[in-house]
Amino acid sequence: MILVVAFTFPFFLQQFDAVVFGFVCGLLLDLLTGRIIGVNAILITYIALFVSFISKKYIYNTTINVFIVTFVMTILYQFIYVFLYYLIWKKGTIIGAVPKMLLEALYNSMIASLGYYIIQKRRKKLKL
Amino acid sequence: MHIFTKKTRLFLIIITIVMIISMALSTLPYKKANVIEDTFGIILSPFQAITDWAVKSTESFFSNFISTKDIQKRNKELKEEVNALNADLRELSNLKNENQNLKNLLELKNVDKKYDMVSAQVISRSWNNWESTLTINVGTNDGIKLNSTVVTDSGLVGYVYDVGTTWSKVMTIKDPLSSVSALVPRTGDDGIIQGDYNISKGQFCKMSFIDKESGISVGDLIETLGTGGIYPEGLYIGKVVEVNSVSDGVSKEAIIETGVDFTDLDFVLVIK
Repeated sequence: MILVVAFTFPFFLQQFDAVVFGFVCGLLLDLLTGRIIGVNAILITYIALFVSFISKKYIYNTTINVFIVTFVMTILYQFIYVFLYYLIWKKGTIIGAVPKMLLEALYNSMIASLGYYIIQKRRKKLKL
Repeated sequence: MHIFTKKTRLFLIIITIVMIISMALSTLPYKKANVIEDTFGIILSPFQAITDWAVKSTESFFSNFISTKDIQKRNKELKEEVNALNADLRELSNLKNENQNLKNLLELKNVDKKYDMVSAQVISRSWNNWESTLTINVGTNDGIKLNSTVVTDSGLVGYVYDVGTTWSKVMTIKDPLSSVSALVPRTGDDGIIQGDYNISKGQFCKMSFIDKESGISVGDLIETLGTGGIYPEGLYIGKVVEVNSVSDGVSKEAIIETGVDFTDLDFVLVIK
């Protein structure tokens, strides 16, 4: 769920806020479960920055775009993780990890787009 | 014109440098958690427990509807298994009494090998596909040390790789970075149990570097060998469900179904 939040909220945030938010989410993930403190913090910070950047410059903030962006970012995040395992610790294969990556990306995208849709509705109601 | 604001650039540079240093320090040999990490662990532990409870409750609520037929079938199988085990238990009880009588006759001292254990609750588990770690609610205050072995009555869970005052992080045997030296008691062959995210679904891990001439077969029980300095010998790990030859031609691999159900692990025992 931290990943879903980290990849979705930057759509609503300005650049600096998105970076700080991504950093906090990544650091929290590292402290809760990570072995190497800093991996998730760096990865999610830069992904949050990228999401905030493209959502302000290149794409419209729609539910389908949130779905696509979350899907792609989850795949990217997991690919980097798997690549580190393969490169540094020589564990597993990248091809073997693809089904898990796709499943988690689909799961995250569905929750992210649903969350975005609900937040947008509430914002319109509150006229924010 | 810069794409990012000056404030953003400065923040990114600072945190990148700090996090790289943190990553480098984190790869040093494991030791007791420092003050900052311990403080975060103490503060976050209650929230981890609540979150874990919420996630498990939600999963349990939905799985009740989805798997009713499976539950009924499994219930019937378990009842039959309980009946068979009760019969075995009665026979074992008789054998134990007979053994004790024989030992008394030979005036042998009956030494029971018992471990000093602490029970702990699992308050959090790893949230991604590439790790298999747990956080438990005991630490140095309870006598837990680095590399303490973690078990349940079903078998081996893993070992403590990071310890705070009131919490500990456990690397399970299913984690890709975990290695356990293992023994097949029936044949005397040994190998290495490793987690593998390609087969981490369910309760499976891989046993590698088994001798090509080994007589290991499906159904064999696997236990710890006791070498490697972390796990004591004789702890049950699981049973063999598949045996394959490796392409190098000099060894075999086996898929092991672990005794512990890692998807339903709420309480563990830590060997002090």
